[in-house]
Amino acid sequence: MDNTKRLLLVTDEGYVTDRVQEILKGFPQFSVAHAATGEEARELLKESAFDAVITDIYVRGVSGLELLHHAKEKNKDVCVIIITGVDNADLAAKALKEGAFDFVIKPPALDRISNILKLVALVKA
Amino acid sequence: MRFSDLNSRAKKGEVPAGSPVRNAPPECAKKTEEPVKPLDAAIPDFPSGPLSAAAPERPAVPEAHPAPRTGSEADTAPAEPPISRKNRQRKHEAADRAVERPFKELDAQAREIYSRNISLAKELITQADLGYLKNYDSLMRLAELNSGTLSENQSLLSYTRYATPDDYLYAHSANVAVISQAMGLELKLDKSVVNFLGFCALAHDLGMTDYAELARKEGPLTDAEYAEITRHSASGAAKLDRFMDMEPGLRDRAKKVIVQVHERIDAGGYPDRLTNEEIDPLAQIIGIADVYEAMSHPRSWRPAGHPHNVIKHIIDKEGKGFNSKIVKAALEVLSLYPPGSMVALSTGETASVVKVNAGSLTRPTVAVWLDPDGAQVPVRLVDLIEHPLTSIERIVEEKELTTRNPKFAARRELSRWWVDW
Repeated sequence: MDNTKRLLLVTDEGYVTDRVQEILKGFPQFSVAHAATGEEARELLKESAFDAVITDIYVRGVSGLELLHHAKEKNKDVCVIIITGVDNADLAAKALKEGAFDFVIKPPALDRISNILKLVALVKA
Repeated sequence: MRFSDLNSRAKKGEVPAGSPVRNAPPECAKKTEEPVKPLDAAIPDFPSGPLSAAAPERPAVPEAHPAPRTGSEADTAPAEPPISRKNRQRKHEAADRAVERPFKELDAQAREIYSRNISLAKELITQADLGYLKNYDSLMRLAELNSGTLSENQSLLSYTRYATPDDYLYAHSANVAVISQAMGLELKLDKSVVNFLGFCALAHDLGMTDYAELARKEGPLTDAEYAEITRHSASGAAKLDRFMDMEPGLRDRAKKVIVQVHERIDAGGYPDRLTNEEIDPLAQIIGIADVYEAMSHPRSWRPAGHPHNVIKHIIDKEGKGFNSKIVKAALEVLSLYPPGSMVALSTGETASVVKVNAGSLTRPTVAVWLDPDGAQVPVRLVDLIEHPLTSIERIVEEKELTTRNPKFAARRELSRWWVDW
């Protein structure tokens, strides 16, 4: 039981959610929570510590950068993966400098996400 | 000598590990001058930069066209593109130089310090067998220099990808010292402790010279030989008595650390099968740096492992023998793509990691060597944090590199050997 890691998925776009959920099926070590709005995500992150967070760079009501900070407050070793469009590359670079683990360009490629998750699983093991 | 080495050799049986790596004899490295220059970016054989590469291109455009065309076309058509291309080129050059200039300065400094590490490691290892030593102070000064450099110049860490052709122990000791000290700083140990750690790391394999023949043996060791070689930590610790200028208190701590380098918290180590708190934390730091260094560098009985695979192996398997804080420090210092890792970028290019970016495990600064077709290009540095659209897609192992560009692969292999001119 102790080995299960908590992962929060924050996306408001159906196809991204589906795609990432699909990949997460291959990672039984993560127990996944999903938030579809920024408010929801913010509350979940304030409530408890997560080991990993996958978030869109903009979710209704909040930016991925802000969620990154919330997540870090509870667990400074959290791995935050940011999903972003090509247009937001500068913001993504900023997120990386502030401690995001890595990020994925939309539309998210399956093997890229699963490669990153493999590394997260390794680091968190 | 480690358990994992023994195990992997036992699995592979007699195969002398294809030893393409070790077969490149030291003389090869000496014959050709350019590949052994330690700074990848400074290898003179490569076109010296974007400027020289672009220069011949421009006149080629007007020269190619005038003959078949009418005068007016020839005047107008080629007139425009060169200007815009030139501007674009200038912009790129300026941007590239902005990354490269400070990098080159830091790298030159790191090279000098690394060179000092190698020569002092060599001096220490050769003199320890002669009777008495009196260079404790100079070794401590070197450790201070390492700490000072590491806290402001990560390039020094990148030099740990080198190996020494005359005796692997020289670079091994220096590399383990640099990596251990970087971990000590990461763990926020006191500066004086970090320096002492550096000294212990430099001296951790002093005992190996007594078992030099076994250490260089190409085939797998027999059980008896293995049992014998495990005694090197004790014999190394004993050599600390030869330091005339070392305080007795420090000497005792250093002896303890050196004897315990191969102990593991799960009691899987040697010589005393200690557990948890019985092991000095400094010995754990040196222990993990030692495992990483050994597995990522070639030995006479096996080729080098890809640094990425080595760090994965350490987290996954060897990590159980170490305190988790220490495993984490090693990961922070080396990242998931440690310096020297050959990787394929999302652009299709092939690059090597030249500097770990603090705080990022997956986005180092890389030097791009090959274009997507495998052709060599003028080397260019890319900081993957500043270029978020480019990422590391996978690692490129030696075999794949050889198929992509055999000439480059051979040169790259030679450039791993450190030769001080």
